[in-house]
Amino acid sequence: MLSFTSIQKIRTIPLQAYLSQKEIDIYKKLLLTKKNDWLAGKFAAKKAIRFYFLKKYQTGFSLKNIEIISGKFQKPDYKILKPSPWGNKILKKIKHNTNICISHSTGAAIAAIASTLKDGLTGVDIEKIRNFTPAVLNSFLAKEEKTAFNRQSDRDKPKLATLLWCVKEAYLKAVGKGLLCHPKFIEARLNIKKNIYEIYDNGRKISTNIQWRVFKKDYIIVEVNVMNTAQQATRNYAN
Amino acid sequence: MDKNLENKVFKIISDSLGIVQNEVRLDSKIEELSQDSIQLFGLIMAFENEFQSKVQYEDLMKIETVGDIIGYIKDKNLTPN
Repeated sequence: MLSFTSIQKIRTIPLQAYLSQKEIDIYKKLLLTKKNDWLAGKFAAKKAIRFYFLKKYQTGFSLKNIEIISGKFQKPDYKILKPSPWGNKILKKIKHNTNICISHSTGAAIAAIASTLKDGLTGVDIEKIRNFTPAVLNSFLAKEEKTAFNRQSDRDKPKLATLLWCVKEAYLKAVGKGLLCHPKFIEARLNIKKNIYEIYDNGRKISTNIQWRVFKKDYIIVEVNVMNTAQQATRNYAN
Repeated sequence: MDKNLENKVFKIISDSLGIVQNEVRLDSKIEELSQDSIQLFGLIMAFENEFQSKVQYEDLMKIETVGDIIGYIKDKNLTPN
């Protein structure tokens, strides 16, 4: 379940309406340049979580009662603060079965929540469409991706390069690697018959569900759900 | 040497991330200096290029601040081009 927002949309909402006191304290200490992205990210995540609980359990929470925290393996996590309609045991069980991911870029943010058993691990990325330097392109694109990139018109090249970056990063975030794995080991191949992207991790096809779109003309948004994670979990990433 | 290395690292960071050099301090957090992951990746590449050495991605876990980068370079005995 995906949620996106921009800082323009939430600027007028008082912080107290959607942040817990602990989050407000953290926000106050942030660098000025980081505040907008941080707020947009938290808001998007809380919206996604609230919508998930509403849809799945017909239970609503105030956004300020959902606290976004740092989780394991570089993935964010969340807490439902009291008052909650459930006891700690039930809440723990529900939470254990979900995972979230957040991404932000220059005042825009997306977040996703997924049922781990049903939808697998979720990873998202949002990036402003841009021109990459040849050195960066050469480093992060796999061979076939470079061929696909070179086939594009000059007008479409920034969009494809940004999309390929987003797919790789969203996948790496889903599996909890982030930038700790070089993106060149992850390859996004377009399945022309199905018109979808498929992911190969160190040459091995990964069972994924990838969705992408252009957001506000300037951004690419990607959500990657990685299935059967138990079988795919560990891999050796040699440089 | 230490001051030279410090200046070199500050310059790579400011050039790569497009920020003025006096905004970079030893205790600056890399995550706070860079706007996004693409910039961060470009920064890693700039260091690899300058020091002709591949960064071990597992080592990135240990690097949080500019000072940590300098510590990493010293630990690995890397010298700039």
